[in-house]
Amino acid sequence: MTILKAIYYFHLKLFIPSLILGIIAGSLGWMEHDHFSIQKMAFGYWITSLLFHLFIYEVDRKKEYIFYYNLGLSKLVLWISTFVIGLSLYLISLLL
Amino acid sequence: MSELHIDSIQKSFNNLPLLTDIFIKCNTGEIIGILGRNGSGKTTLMQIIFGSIPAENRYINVDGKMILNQFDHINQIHYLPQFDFIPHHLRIKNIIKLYCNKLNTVKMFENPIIKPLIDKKINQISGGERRLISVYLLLYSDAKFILLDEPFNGIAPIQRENIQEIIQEQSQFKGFIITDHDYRSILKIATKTILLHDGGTKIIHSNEELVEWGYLNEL
Repeated sequence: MTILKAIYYFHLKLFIPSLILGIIAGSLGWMEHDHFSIQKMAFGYWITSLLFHLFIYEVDRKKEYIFYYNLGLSKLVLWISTFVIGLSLYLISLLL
Repeated sequence: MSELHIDSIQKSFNNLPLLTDIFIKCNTGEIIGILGRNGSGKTTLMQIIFGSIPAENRYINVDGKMILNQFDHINQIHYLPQFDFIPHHLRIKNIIKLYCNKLNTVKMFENPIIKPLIDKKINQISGGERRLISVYLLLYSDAKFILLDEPFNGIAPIQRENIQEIIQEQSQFKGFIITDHDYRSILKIATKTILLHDGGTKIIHSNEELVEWGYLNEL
């Protein structure tokens, strides 16, 4: 439970900026198909969350990793969580 | 009672050996103070024990179980770095709940220094308060062994005494390894003092030995 909560707190920082760029990506659907594209939004979220992870945690706030290491989360696990959450959202969007 | 066993740590920088002959054993109830000059490798040693930097060789064992990766650290070893490491977007109460068990969460919530800050986010408090929260968080955190890297740095004298008392109180349940340039604070609470000298650990039996090893000019 603690680990899941820690992963949730880690992703809070990535969620809003990635969602905003995901919505912008989804809005591009209007240019192609005359409607908002959930698939494009989810794909946009997936890619931008990885980019925000890179810029926020690897460049700007690198020292915060220690906070998560103390809770048993390695850098690799956190990267995998960003990848898997984004991928899961994209796969769900394909089913809608 | 738990036992942390640290042995055979080797670490070099640019082919220059920094740590070569390290042996530390810490049990629940022990407060081990590590002293050493600037550049002697105190922080590097802490980071290697914690696993946040690699070493050419390391042997870290808690209660007979090797600590090989971050996952093995869960509730075993926690580390307070010298720098600000707490995410700024989190509320203090949520951080406490994440790090501490129920009993220590209540203790922290009732602490007169922390109580007024409890609903604030880390980015809403001052640098000094942030350091204080970090230190308290680690002292009360739910792990068998706590590594404290310069816990007294940037802390007001009255708070230092408070921190020393909490370390002594919490050492009933866990082991502490502390390094700080405030050697008086270390000597006051340490049950065992170790000097890091020429890449190795020397157990200090009396304060006079600190002068003999060249750590202090005089007592």
